[in-house]
Amino acid sequence: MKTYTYPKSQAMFERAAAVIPGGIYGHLGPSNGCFIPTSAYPFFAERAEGAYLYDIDGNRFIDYMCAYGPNVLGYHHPEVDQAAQAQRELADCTTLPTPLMVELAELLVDTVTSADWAFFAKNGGDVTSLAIMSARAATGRKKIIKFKGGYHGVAPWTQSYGNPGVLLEEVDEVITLAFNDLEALEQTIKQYPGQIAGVIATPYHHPALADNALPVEGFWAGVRSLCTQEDIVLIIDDVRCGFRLSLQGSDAYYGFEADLICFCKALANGYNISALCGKQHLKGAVSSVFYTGSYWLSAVPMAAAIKTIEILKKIDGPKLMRERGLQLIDGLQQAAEAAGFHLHVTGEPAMWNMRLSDDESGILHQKWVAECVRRGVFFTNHHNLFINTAITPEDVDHTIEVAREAFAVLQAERR
Amino acid sequence: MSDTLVRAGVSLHGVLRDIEDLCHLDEPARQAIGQKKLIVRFDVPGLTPLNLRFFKGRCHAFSGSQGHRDIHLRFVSPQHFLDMMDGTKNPIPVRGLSKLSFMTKEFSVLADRLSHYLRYDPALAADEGYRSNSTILSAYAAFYGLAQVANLSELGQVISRQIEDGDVDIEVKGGPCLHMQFRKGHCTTRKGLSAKPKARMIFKDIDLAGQILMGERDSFAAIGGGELAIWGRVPMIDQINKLLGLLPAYLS
Repeated sequence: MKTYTYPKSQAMFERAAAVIPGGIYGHLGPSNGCFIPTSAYPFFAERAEGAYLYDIDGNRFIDYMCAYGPNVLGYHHPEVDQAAQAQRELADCTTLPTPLMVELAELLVDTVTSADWAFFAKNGGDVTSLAIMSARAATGRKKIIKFKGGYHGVAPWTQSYGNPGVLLEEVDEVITLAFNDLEALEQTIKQYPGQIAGVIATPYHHPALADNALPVEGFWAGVRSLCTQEDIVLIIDDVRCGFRLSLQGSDAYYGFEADLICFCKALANGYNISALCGKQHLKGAVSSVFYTGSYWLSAVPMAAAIKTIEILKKIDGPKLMRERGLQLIDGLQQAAEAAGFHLHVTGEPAMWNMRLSDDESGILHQKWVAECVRRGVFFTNHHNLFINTAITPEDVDHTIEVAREAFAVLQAERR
Repeated sequence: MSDTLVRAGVSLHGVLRDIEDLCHLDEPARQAIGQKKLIVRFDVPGLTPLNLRFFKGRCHAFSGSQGHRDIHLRFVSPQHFLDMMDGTKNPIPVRGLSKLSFMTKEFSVLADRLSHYLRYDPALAADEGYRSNSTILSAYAAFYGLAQVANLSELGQVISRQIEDGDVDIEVKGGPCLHMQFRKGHCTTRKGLSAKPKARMIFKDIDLAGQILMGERDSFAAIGGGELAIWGRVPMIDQINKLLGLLPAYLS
């Protein structure tokens, strides 16, 4: 199988590094620890279509990162693009919002179990921070509980003291506990009576750089019960999982109801919009928080979101992605076993996490992933992967072929 | 811990420790110590003492307050030690009064040579030997100093407590190799590569290492460009990068 090289990407990165901090910053950047070794990865895309991403060197990849989640129906989905284009011809970013804002809010209220209303912004971090502010506004309390490794964006409150630019004062009202540890949560709530404004969590634990964990039996029922008893706002950060596990919200998927739930990524198949939804009793608190942005009420992404949700409903997107994920995971694990390796898979099949457990440092896993990428299967080393509905069974079969060849390279190195 | 103590720790166990490598790399330094055979101990309140053992034209640096020493220099405070490093105050000799001429003669040469390399002179950049020695000594000073920042500074302790137990290799192609050991939030720098590293940072050459340590190059861009390769447990490398960001504030 041909292996890829990236001379144009590397040359473009040199240009980028001269004028942009870090060259490519943030989660798409090669220095974030997900592209190891960087020489195995392309850095710049030229175009994307369906399940595929094409880099500027002309290499084609089956893209299992899906833009880190937004690509849920396939890149350039014709119906979504058509809906967006039709709205663009009418109006997008204007002095007044369009009725699409109301239509999208109504659609979310009809679709998401814990949604009595919806508030729109741009990024996941916009709405997780709004959720925290709203919980504080609603309760008059300061403290927030989150779970270690849970990603809720980049605002200072989501980060750790010790990270550059983060002050102790910005994080000292945030308590971090271990996911699935209901006893620790109960003790903490007892330790700070009447002081906890909110608990924020992802519906299951999907940190980067670590194994993922599904909620243990009784965890969410226990959390819900404690929050209700103590008037604590339960916030579900469904930015990454939303619309991949269930169209009703991932809280519904796991059998409970959040007070506030945050969406972004898969909401509009790549068009830039996020949403905070929630229960009626918090609507007033949310409207009391001063919170807005220049592009938050733009109409084009709203048209795309409406069409995306309609299509996901029509094709039962979550079921399809789960099945495709299971097929792929099974094939990858068999390929690993046949080559004498062990592929440890955690998380949900539609957005699984994997690592070779044969080496504690993760270097073996990094080498295997690199060989897959060089052969046109875009995985990252230390982040959950994503399925989208455009990935076909043939794509999965090809991926497994590539994985086999990548394992053979590791085997040859071992000899 | 006070900033003064952290600065003193970096100066003692990062900068002064460099005398060991200076004597290995620099001919004038080697000539200065000749065949001297003695141990000098630097004893700063709040810090583990540093010992420099001179023997057969070499120097070996080690930590500890036990064992033989020929010259024992005490300081009344970390600031007192920093003042000595700046050349404005003298230490208090509590042992080896008859051998103190070593400090004013041979050791003085070593201090000057060390300063020559650590206070990088761009006018000498064309001299490959100078540039190489300067980078190697700066790298050792930085990475040994880093352990002091991790163990002594308030923010460094917060960061190092988040680092899992294990070793991180730091390798400069054609230059020094060392590894940092993290055990229960405590950091130690060791020469050479680890037998079982959990993570690795590999600088493509000595110039890149120097440029990054001097803040002339963006380490994130260097990772992206493949000049600084990283492998293994990424959170460990990420935390080391945060510690490196704290270091310049403590390097005198």
